[in-house]
Amino acid sequence: MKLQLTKDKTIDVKMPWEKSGGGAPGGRKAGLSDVVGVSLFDGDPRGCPAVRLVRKKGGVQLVAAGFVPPPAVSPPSSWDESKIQPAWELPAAYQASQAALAVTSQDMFVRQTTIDALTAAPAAPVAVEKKKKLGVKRGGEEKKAEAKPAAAAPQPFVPVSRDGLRFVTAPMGDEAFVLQTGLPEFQVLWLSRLLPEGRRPTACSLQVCPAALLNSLCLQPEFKADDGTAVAVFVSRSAVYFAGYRKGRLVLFRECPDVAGYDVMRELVKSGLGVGDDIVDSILEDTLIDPRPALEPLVRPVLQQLKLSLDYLAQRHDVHVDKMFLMGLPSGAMYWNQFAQETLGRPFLLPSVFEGMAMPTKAGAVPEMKANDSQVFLAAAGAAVAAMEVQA
Amino acid sequence: MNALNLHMNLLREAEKVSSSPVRLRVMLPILALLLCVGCAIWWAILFMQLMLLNGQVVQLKTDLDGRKSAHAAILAEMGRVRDLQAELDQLNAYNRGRRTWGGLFAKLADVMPESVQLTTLSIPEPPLQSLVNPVNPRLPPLLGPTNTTESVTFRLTGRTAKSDPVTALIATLGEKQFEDWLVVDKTGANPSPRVHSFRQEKAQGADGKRLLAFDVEFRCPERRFEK
Repeated sequence: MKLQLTKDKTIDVKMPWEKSGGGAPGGRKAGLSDVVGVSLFDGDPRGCPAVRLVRKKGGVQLVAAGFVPPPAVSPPSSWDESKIQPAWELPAAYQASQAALAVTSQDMFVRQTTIDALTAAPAAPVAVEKKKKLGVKRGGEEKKAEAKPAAAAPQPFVPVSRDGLRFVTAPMGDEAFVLQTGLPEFQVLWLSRLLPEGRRPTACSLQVCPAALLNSLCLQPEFKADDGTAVAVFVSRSAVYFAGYRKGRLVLFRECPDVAGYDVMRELVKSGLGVGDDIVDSILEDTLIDPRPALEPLVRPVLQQLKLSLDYLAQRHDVHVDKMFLMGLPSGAMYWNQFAQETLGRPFLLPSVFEGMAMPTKAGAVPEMKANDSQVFLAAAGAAVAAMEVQA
Repeated sequence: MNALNLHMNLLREAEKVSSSPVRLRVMLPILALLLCVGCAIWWAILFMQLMLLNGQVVQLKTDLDGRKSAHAAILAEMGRVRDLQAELDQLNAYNRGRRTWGGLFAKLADVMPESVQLTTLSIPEPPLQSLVNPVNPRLPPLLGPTNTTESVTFRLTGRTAKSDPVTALIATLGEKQFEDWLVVDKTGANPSPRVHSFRQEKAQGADGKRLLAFDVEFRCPERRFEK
């Protein structure tokens, strides 16, 4: 243990296991071994999808998966609302030591941008962490809190506060680009305190939902089999995202413009076919009624945008993709495949979210589900895999 | 495949809290407080011990002051005891050197046969001590007698008509009642009693008979000029 008086008159405590450098890329710590991933506020009426993963010698084991009751209060939309702080607890099966939260928020953003654009942004003083706990600050904080020069690019994977936003950047496969995600500062602070201290689990990772989705492919055997070069279409309840990977590294991320997500697709089927909410999923999974006319206004633009993205990958990054994953779609995937076959000349791969993981040995830990049903846990699993620092 | 995990964590290290009920940021102040309390208790114990010792010192000083006069009195008494002891020793020495003959004479009167007439009772002067140096005779003689003992004898002379009463008298004087004054020792080179003479006198009595004159010497316990 090393005690050091810092410039801002706090005591910097460096534990023996906290190295000053090295470790994971970007100076990150090694991954965790027992994490519960929870997808928060994604609008699922059944609750919050939660997945508990444990790192084993041979890989990752799924311990439990299901829906947990959501927090009693919705996330705040302003600083004033963030003062109301509920304490949220998870059921016993999901009480891992750490939790990775994948948050869906209207205020979140995920964007692929260039380093030039980031450095050209007006410099604002970085919000230094003023709240000191009994004057003791853990090692390594000081560097993160230091004000950065106006032209300096943000350090990868280090959260930065600016203009009321908390954002983090990550390098992409092309050095000219970075991926940037963020949330309003008050929401981050509110979410960081949502799981109370001293009770399992506590939040160790807070990711926005689209960023969490990106890591869900890390364990997929099909993804790893072809050198990690693929395109993935992530369908969430409110948006569709494209991600392109070259040798496992992200080279493309974009949200499909002017296209809503899975919820809108269901609404289209309901209104187009005049059916109730309870049989929409059955129609999308069955061939009794053809929902393609109802789906076409949604899926065709998506596939056109995907085609554009594939062209972009081929021309800009010289990436010729053979595999296309369609993830996050609980029902209707076969119709998406038909459209893909017609438009792009090849089908999607539709793996289960839990492929590549060892299944739980305990009976009842995971509810019985079809392959497509696992797609609702995509963001939760992705958040947990990211927190465990699983490498593809 | 050199894939990079995109863990885009918006939480800072300071915002991550422990799920363990034992929290470092809680335990550190508690441990520090316990350490302070422990030090305070330790200091209090030391302070109490110091106060106790100070009290004992004050009490001992008071006690010592009170005992100084008693100690002086005891020393004076001890001096007096020594003086008296020396005086007593001296008196004992004198007492041992003193010979009281009154008792002997009183008892002698009781046991004296009627047919025996004592003519003299004498305690001869002891022989003078040789002043020749006992260590080396060639050395100058001693300045005075150094013996702490002195031999004493008791001599009786008298007359009698027959020898039997004298023999009975000698036997009586050898009894236990006279052991404080007379020694009976028939062995050795210097026996006691020792009959110097027992003879018929030349002179005749009124009835024309001749009397027997006797001269007997008893050795007495030695005079000791010592404690």
